[in-house]
Order: sequence, then C-alpha cells, then structure tokens
Amino acid sequence: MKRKKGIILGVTLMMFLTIAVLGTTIMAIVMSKARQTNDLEKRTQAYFFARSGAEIARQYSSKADLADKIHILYGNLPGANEDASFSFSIQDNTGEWKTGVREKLEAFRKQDGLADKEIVVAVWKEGQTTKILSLGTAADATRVVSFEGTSATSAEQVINMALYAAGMITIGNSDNYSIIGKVGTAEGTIVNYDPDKDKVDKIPDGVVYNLDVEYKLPPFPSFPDLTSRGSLNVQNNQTISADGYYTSLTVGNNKTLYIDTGGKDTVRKIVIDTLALSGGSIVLTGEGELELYVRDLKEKNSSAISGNINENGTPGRVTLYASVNSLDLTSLDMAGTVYIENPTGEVNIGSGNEGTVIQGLIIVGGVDDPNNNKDIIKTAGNASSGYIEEPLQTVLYAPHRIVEMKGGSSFYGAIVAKELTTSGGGSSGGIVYMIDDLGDTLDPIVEVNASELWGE
Amino acid sequence: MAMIRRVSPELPLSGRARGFSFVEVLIALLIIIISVVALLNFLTTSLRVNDTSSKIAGDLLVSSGELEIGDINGETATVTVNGVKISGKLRESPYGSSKKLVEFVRPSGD
Repeated sequence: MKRKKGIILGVTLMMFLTIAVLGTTIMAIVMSKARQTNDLEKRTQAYFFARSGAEIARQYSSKADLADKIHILYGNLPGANEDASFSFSIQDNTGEWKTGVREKLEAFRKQDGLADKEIVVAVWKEGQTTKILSLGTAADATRVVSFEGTSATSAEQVINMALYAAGMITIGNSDNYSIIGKVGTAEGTIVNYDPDKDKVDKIPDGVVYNLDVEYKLPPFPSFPDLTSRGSLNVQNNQTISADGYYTSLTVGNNKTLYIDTGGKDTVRKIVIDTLALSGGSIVLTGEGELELYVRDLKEKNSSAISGNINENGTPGRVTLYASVNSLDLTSLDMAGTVYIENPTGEVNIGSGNEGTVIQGLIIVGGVDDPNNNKDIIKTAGNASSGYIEEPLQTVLYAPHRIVEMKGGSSFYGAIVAKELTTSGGGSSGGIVYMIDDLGDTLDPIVEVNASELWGE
Repeated sequence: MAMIRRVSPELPLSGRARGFSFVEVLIALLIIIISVVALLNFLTTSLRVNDTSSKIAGDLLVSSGELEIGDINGETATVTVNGVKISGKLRESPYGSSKKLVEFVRPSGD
C-alpha cells in the first residue's frame, strides 16, 4: 500500500487538468464566436461603406466629365448634417489601368497609404455604360462592390439615333435614299457609303463607328388565363366590355368593333387565338388601356392583315402582343405598340401604295442566330411609318433581327436592328429620326435598357 | 468478555499507511474547489460573451436589413469631390447597445 500513497493528489491533478482543458476549449469556442461576430460587424460596415462609395460615384459620374479616364475618389463619410471632402485621382484607362482595374485599385489603396480611408472608389465609362468599383474598409475588413448601369432616363437617351445596327449596314445605290439623324454601328464601315465620293451625303448627320451598344428586349408577358367567350364574328357597332378569351375574332370589311376599356386605370385584356382583321376597325372607348394577346394574326382568307386599331388614338393605350411564327402587316393603321415575340419566319411591314401606318413602337423579339437567314423584317410599300399630314412616328426595335428596307419605304422615327440593308438601286425612302411625339409609348424599352447591375 | 482483534499479516497497523492523510485530502479539495470555481467563472463569462455575440449578430442582421430595404430616412450629408457637390442622406441604423451601421445614399430618383 505504501506505493499508492499520494494517489489522490495525482487524481486531483488529473481532474484539474481535465477541467482546465474543458475551460480552455469552451473559452476558445466562445472567443472564436466573438471574433466571428466582430468580423461580421466589420465586414457588414465595410459593405455599406463600399455601397456608399458606389452611390457617391454614381452621382459624381452624372455631374463630372469622365471622358476616357478612370476617376478614383477616396475619403471618409461625413457625420449627420456634416460635409466631407473626398480626394480624387485621375488615371488614364488607356494605359496600365486598361485591364485589371480591381487589382490596380487595391494596389493603389495600399501604395498610397489609403488603408485607413473608409471609401476608395473608381468610376469610368465604357460606351454608354458607367462602371464603378468601390472598396469599403472598416478596421481591417475590406469589401468590394461593383456596379454597372446605363443612366438612361428618357427615350432620347436610349433611342438617340435614327439607326443603330450592331452589324453591317448596307446603303442602296439610289441618291434618293437618306438617313436624317445620326447612325451608329459596331462595325468600322458602312457598305456603299462614302461621304467623300458620293454625290449626295446620304447620312448628313454623321456616323458613329465602332459603337458597341447592347440593346435589351423587354420581357414578353405570358398570356393571361381569361374567361372563355367562344368565337366572335363582329357585326357593326358591336362592343366588348369585359376581359375574355376568344378562339377567333373576325372584324370584316367596314365593320367596327368597339372595345370598352373602362375607367382610367383599367387595362382591358383580351386573348385571341386568331384575330382576322380584314379591312375592319377596332376602336377604343372609355379611358383605360387595351392589351391584345394574339396567337395568330391575319386577314380572313390570307396571311396578311389590313384594317385599323386605335387609328388616330393615343399610342400609349394599346399593346398588341403577338406570339406568331411570321407576320404580314400589309396595311395596318394603328396607334400603339406591337410586340412580336419570336417569329421563326419573316415579318413584313407594308406593301403597295398604302403601306402600313403605325404610330408607336414595333418590337420584334428573338435571339442572335448567325445560321438563321430568316430573321428578317422587310419594310416595303410607300411607307412603313407613313407621312400623311403630320408624320406618324414609329420606332422599330429589333436588336436581333436583320431589317431590309425595300422600295420607297420610309421610317419617321428610328430603327434598332442587328443589320440593315436597303436593297435595290431605285429605293427612294430612308429614315428620319423623330421620336418626340411617342412619349411614354417607349417606356418599355427605356426601362429595360436603363439597367443596374450590382455585384460583389 | 475479552475483545478479539483480528490481525492481518499483510496490513500493518501503522496509522500512516491507512487511507489518505488529512493534508492530502485538504490539498486535493482545495485544488478541486479552485478549478471548479475557475471553470464556473469561465462558463459564466463564456455564456455572457456567447449571448452578447448572438445578440449583436442578430441585431446586425436586422440593422443591415433595415438599411437594405431603405426604411431609414437619414440625415442630410454632403460629400464634395473634385468640385462636385454630392448631397445625400446619411442613414444610421443602431445595433447592439451603442453601435451603428452607417450608409450614404443619393436622394431617390437621382
């Protein structure tokens, strides 16, 4: 038993050691959590500093002339009801700042002893897009926020040219063809256009070459599920005064369909499988708006369509969503918006002397497909956007489609296309930039192109 | 009546050899008490720190959410840079017992 003497001390020391290890472990876990919380606090504040930097830079970019420089702004936020001055540095983004702006900005912050600044932000322009990279720092935590957006707020900022075609523009041989208003293209040349050699300058307002603008399409809505109302062959003076789904709706020659749109904030919705407009008219009554959702659009016995929809009315009141394979707008007089989802075939606008007369917006959807040579919109006849007493204005917005202007077709408005060709030596039409009467009709494309993209 | 005492040859009767000494037990008890008290202290502090951390983290989440949503009006503040005066709102969202998150925003619509 002698050798077991003092064992209690050993056991106690073991217990002490266990308790100490337990205590240390608990403390380590808790301290780790406290450190995590502390890091979270710093990182959260750093994020909001970075966002603040982006906000400051956005406002700065709208007031200062950035030209082709990268402006770096840095400083600390003011307190409430206080003023603060930020310092700035201007870098040439054609030089070493041309690529890898983020790395350059972080190096700039370290080299210039700006590590204690809450905000270091770089802002520059690439085409129409403003780009911002903002570093926010709280204690030893730094967060990065990036922002890019087009600051467009009006139709004039989005559709600011008579014609923009990312791809090739080919001008016909006729001296009578002209484009009045600026032309933009991502290409370096325009086929068959040389203002120094041509007898007449066909684009007197000039061309902006190598202009890469990404025009986006507004979302095409899904067709609403409405009460079925069978088919309707309109007799004269017939009125529709409720939303509904029609398997077919025929408005024959000299017949008029009235659609009661209700009160000012009402949107009358009508879904139609086949809308046959053969020289008939659709007239709006009430003060509301009309949305037509159409799966097939044609004359009674032909693929073409002729007639009137909201003729001489306010264009912002009518939108025709057409989910069709192809469309032949032979002679349609309309004030409103026509949005053709993604036609697999051609879209023809106008034919013969009458032409199609649309005041408003024509959107043709689709995606860029170099193998599809049917992505074509043809304008023909005297006018696709006609000139009667006052010019009716149309914006043809088809950033992924080839537009062919044939005959003497003319656009008073603007065209956005993938490519544009004016075929035939005898064409005498052209494009005249004119969108000031369209007002909020162009809102869908303004909204979708006034984009904001945040990232970290 | 005579008392009979059983004697084992393996266990000598020496007092020092039987059980633990009083001093040993005392020292052991002292060590255990000190370590348990220290552990309890650790535990209390740890629980308090843990609780505070959790509260701060939760508060921080709410506070940053308020800034994200834009629920806070904020006070006017101005930043001047390169001659350009940028007016905006300084939003402060308090959290924890005395801390706050700060963000500068442009006036809406600009």
